Amino acid sequence: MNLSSHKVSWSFRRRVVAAVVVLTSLSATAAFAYTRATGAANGSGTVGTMQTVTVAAFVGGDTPSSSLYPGGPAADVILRVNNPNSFTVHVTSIAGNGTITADAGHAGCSTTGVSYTAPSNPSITLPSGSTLVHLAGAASMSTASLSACQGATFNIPVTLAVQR
Amino acid sequence: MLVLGGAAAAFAYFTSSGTANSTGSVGSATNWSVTATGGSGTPTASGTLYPGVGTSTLGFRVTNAGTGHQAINSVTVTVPADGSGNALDSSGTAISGCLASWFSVGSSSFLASDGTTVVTLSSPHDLAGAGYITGTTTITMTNAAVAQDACQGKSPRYTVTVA
Repeated sequence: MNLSSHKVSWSFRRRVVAAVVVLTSLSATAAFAYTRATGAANGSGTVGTMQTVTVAAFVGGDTPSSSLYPGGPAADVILRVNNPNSFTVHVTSIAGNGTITADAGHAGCSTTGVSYTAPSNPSITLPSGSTLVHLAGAASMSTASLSACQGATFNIPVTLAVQR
Repeated sequence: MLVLGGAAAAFAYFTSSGTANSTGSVGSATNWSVTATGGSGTPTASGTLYPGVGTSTLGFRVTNAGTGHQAINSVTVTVPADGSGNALDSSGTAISGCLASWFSVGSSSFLASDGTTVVTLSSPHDLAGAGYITGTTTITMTNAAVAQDACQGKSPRYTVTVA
């Protein structure tokens, strides 16, 4: 009777030991899974291309704020610029790049005497769309200008450089 | 009989011990699958970058490709560079003159697979087998004081790394 009783007790203790082993195994499995896996993949973005800023035709009301006189003070130059980008750009230079001519209604103005002085460090920003730019004191007229140039409007070819 | 019985009792109470050996099967960790948000293909970005303007939004999905539970510890998005600091394009080729350091990667946000529950990775996030989260990261481009023309029209590579 006593022997039988002790055998039951022994059997129970073995079950306890076995249960502990199982729990330990589960714990180790969880720790392993949480630390080893990695993964990676590549995607790519897009860097846009800046669209060319152009000089556009004047619209009504686009007039200089001052006029030229032979030997007189420098006057302002205006240009209408179109920025087709969706963001503001900064003008870094506005360089003259051709012969200055009078408008078609002043064909006799073959010697304009007009010169253009590019701004040395333009601080001009161009928002998206059309902007009228005034360059104060950028044009002057020498006494070589012919009388036929009176009342003329002069075309001054320029090249703009801009940056984002 | 009594002697034998007494010995048995002593054995049971003081020196009884038992050991058992068994073997189980522990699964191998499975790498995370990183794809586009739809679950296939590579992570995709929308939006166009210009110096100082615009954002590129990268979307991706991180899937537990295994059958057991695994926890995500971190997700990192980078703009990788070659040895000279040039960004790489989508094929892994260096974009000469376009520096990876000009691109800034913002913090990422994550949603559970239900599409609404916010997931934070301040602590490991457990995912069951085949479970996934989606992530969103924004990238911007610095307006540097030098010409950045080399980047124009290019597709800088973004790398998503999961640990």
